[in-house]
Amino acid sequence: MSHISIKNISKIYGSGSSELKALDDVSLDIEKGEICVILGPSGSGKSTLLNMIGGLDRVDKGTITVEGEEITSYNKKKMTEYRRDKLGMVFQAYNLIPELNVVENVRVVKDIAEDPLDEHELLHLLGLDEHKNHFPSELSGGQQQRCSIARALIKNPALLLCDELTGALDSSSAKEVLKMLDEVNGQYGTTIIMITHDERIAGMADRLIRIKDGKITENTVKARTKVGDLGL
Amino acid sequence: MTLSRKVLRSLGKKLSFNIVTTVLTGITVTVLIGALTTADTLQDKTEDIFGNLNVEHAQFLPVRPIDEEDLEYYQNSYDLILEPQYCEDITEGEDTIRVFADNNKINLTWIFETASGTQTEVSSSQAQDGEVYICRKYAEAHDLNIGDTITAGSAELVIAGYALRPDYLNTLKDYTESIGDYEHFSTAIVSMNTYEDVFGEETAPAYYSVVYNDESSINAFRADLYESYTPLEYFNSDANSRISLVKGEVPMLRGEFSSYSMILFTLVVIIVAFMLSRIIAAEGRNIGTLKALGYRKKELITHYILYALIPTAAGCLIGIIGSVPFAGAFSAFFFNDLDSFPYDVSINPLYMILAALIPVVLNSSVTAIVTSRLLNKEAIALMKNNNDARKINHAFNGSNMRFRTLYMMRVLLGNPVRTLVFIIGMTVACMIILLGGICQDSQKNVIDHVLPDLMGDARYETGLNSFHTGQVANGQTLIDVMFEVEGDPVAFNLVGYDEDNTLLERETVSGEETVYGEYYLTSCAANYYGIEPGDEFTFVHRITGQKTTVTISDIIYNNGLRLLITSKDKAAAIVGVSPDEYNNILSEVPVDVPEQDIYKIADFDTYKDSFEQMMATTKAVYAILLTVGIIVCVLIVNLLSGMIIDENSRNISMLKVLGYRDNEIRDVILRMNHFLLPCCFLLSIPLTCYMAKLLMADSVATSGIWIDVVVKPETLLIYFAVVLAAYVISLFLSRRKLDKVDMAQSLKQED
Repeated sequence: MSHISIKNISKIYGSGSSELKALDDVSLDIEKGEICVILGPSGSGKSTLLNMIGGLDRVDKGTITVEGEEITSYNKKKMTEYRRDKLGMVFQAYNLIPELNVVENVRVVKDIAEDPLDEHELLHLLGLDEHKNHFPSELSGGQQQRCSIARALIKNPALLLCDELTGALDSSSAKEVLKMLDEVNGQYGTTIIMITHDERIAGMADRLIRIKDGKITENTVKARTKVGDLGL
Repeated sequence: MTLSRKVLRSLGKKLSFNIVTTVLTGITVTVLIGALTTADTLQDKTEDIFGNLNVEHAQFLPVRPIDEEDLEYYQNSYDLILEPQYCEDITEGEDTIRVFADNNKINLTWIFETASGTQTEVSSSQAQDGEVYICRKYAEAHDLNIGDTITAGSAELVIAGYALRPDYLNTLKDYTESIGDYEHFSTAIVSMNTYEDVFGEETAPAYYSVVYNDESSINAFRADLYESYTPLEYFNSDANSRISLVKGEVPMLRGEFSSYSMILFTLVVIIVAFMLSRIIAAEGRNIGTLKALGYRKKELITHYILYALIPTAAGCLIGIIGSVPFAGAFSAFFFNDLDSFPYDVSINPLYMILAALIPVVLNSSVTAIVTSRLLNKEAIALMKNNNDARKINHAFNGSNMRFRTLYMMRVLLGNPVRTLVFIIGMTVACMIILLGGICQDSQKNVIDHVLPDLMGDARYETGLNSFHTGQVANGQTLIDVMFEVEGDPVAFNLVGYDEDNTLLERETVSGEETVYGEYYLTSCAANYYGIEPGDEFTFVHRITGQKTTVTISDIIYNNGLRLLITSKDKAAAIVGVSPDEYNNILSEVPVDVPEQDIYKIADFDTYKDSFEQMMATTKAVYAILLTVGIIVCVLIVNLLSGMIIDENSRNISMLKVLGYRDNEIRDVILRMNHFLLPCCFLLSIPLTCYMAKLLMADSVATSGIWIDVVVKPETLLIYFAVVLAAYVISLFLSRRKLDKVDMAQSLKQED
């Protein structure tokens, strides 16, 4: 059984002349422990797809099944529990809570996690030991993104969704962050879905999905390239 | 201007601010105009009644009737009007009708309703023979109509209409009362001929009333009168509760409600200034753009003034409209203490103009200042303005506190102005809510603890209309004469007692035993006159004007009566009578004294009933305050919670994405002010007590009772529960806004 199984999902925004088909009959399966990179230009529907998998938005048609559970039938309350128990999310804008320092931002999620990882170990893994008492405004973009990853991983989620996580980073920070993700995937077996428009990142994927105008144009299972060799 | 459409379209977005500004301005304007109009209506009507009906300046009871010749002499010598007042009580069961002979010079009669209709204008009329004019409320209570007859002695009198005398405007049977008991007491006015038919031609005047045309002759007249007629009592109209209670309500209304409205309006201005500074600061980028596009500073200020102008003007309009029924209802409430005579409530247009202008000008000025300061920045700097760049407080960094607590502390400390606005707003709301409770506690304390001690161990006080000698069975005699302090018309009583008196309360505040022959003031008098033990106390004889100075040895605890207490011989020397004489009797049971010798009988129940009636009238004011306080509380909490939600919407969105449940997010965001709430309530207690103390001190001149401010713990708990309930309701209202924050917001790229 696939970790994630997406069957014929569609999503339309607006109506009448302003109707926009963000996803059009999309189907795909993602296996447990895979790093799946979804590539596509702006407006292709990749963010919509990620939001559907993350339970942030609702499909108009089709089903999404995660670990055998059809999440598209969940009500609001159950969807909250799904995000709470199974999901980690990392954003391009980091979305750290500015009033909290690094370790406190991580604890925001640790507080509600059933079986959290050791925060010190995780911060060490992500190279944030020295910065744990720093506030987001005192960190570089790369450090903020690593903090964002630490926050997502502290609950040891089965699934990690990353939305343009290197979009706001310079290349050395981007490389550093991707390396961390690779290590996390290796150490915890976390399924990672990354959306990006950066072709170079596609190399680190086990599965590469290309999407255009709301349709999947490529779904390839391939061998992973080392982060150091991505050409970032 | 096209730009102003932006303001109109953002009205809904700034709904909390618009609602709070509109409602608070509306309440302030309604309460202020309503109270001032009520004060005006009371003042105009009472001035008409007192002026057109020539109300007495004073009344006195001489030891014997004044000769016709002397009457002429006094009037000519001292430029005054003097008229004997004839009245007799007809008592049947609990009901008393005090029948007056119609006057010709002083305390004239206003017949406001007859069979031919109602007369709104106050003007004097004469009663016709065989007719009687009574109080309308008494008639209604007894189902009596115009044309019915009542029995007065052996005569049957036709009720020809309803009327009032100015000296009985507050129709009190006894001076110890505060509110007329129209169910059991009425005045009845008849012609002199009818009076003589009913009570006989040889009846003596009950007392004399005087109107001074020349105030400088008052003291000389009193001294001359004392020489020949030795009046026992001399009542200034200012000390006559039938006249002074209504007069006292006018400045009380103006003073109290002007203060409440000022407090409320200051709060409105603070909120408007605070909110507008944030709204306009958030508009920095737009302001920069408009500046770059060539808009002048004046045009931009005019534009942003609209943000304050619209809700303020709406509030003023609602307030002015609301003030019409409020003024009517409030006037009816205050006139309810009097007989139901006709009066017109009309709002002074000046109040409406000022109520419309002042809030608009003040709030617009605040907006102009805030915008002007922002406009001093360069357009480029404004356009680069990052609305989300907030000052983050780093307090408790490295501590192991829970995230929720840390977050709350940093958000609160990170925005001290908002926290201060919450503290000010909630403290004011708590004060308004608490004030009624504390005042009622203090008044209840008077009934429970002050009134029972009022007469010591005595249950009855029998005042005589002249000095007597000899023993009284079951009674202990006193000398009891009114005096006053120069320049203050409010009187006190000098009381002389025998050394073996066991009924007069003599427990001192210091705990020391009283020494017979020394002078003691009751706490009510000491507080009113500001006298401490060891101070000298100078007072004047109300009739002769003779000054006496004594040293006060201690204060006797009695907050209900203004008394100067000393031995009978010392009191007799000051009054100018023999130490064997007395004019007052204290007793545990009613004493056997001829009815014609009795001037008044007061008992504990009379004092208690009167005070309870007075309390009942204040309840409506406290109910209004409680309602306003709850509204202020709900609005402030809702406004500031809304602001916290707006500021933290990105974090809220993120917490939703991270899997936080709605109740957990509410717990993080909406509990910010939880711990401030009890702080505000605690802060409001001393402030409210101070305010209540000022109110109670103001009331002592009219009620005659010094009311100590008392707060019962259970009252604090009940009112805290009220504040808490209002707070919870406001948070409940804010929940919707919080729940509506979209998760997608965290997905958007930061500006």
